Amino acid sequence: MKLWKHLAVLALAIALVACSPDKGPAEEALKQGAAAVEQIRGDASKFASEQFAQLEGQLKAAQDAFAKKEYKQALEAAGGLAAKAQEVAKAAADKKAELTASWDELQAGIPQMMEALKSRLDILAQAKKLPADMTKEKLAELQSAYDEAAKQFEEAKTAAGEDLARAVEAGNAIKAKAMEIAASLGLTPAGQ
Amino acid sequence: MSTDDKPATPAGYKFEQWHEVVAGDTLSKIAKKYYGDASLYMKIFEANKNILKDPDLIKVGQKLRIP
Repeated sequence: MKLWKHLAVLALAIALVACSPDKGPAEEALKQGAAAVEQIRGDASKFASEQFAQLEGQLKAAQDAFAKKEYKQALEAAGGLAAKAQEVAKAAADKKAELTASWDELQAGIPQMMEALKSRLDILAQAKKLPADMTKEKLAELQSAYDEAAKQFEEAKTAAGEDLARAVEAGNAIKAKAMEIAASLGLTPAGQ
Repeated sequence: MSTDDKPATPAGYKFEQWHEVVAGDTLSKIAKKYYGDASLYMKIFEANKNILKDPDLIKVGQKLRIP
């Protein structure tokens, strides 16, 4: 009787495996998909965070399906992960290149803007009298705005190593502030 | 480092102010106009040494950079 029971259990197990032809391929697809997601995590999580989050969601859905023994669904969900990871990696690389170009421009241009502002502010600080359209209070405000912008630029340079998007956002704000100060000092963009 | 050694400024980042010399101008008058203080005329002379040899000699039509 015991032997019959064992045989019945074995027969059931064989039947289950026979009914799950997707398990092996699903397991392999999951393994490859997870590796593809992990491979792009560094830049993708920084530069294409929404798309990367969707990709992780797809991986989790595949893992969950596999855990529930829904191998066909797991295989379907995991099957496209590697290709989608490549798309996300491309989007991240494009965004990184765009931000890098923006930051390179800001990093080259802002110091020269700041130098022009500092030169004029330093000269006006030495003046015994100020021009007709300038008061001591206004000059002090402009100096203060310049000091703040200079401080923010130093912070942006530090941030650039960790968070390029934040550095570019800060750099653009500093550029806008510097343009306001320049306009108040009568300085105009070259060529205008 | 001389001005010529500086990296090129990207477009939109270079700010400047220019003054075109008219009859009766002196560097002191120009300094008075832009800085409020005529005694600062040497700042303008120093910034325009490429075209000025003597702070007392400026010519009508010259375009001076106001630093």
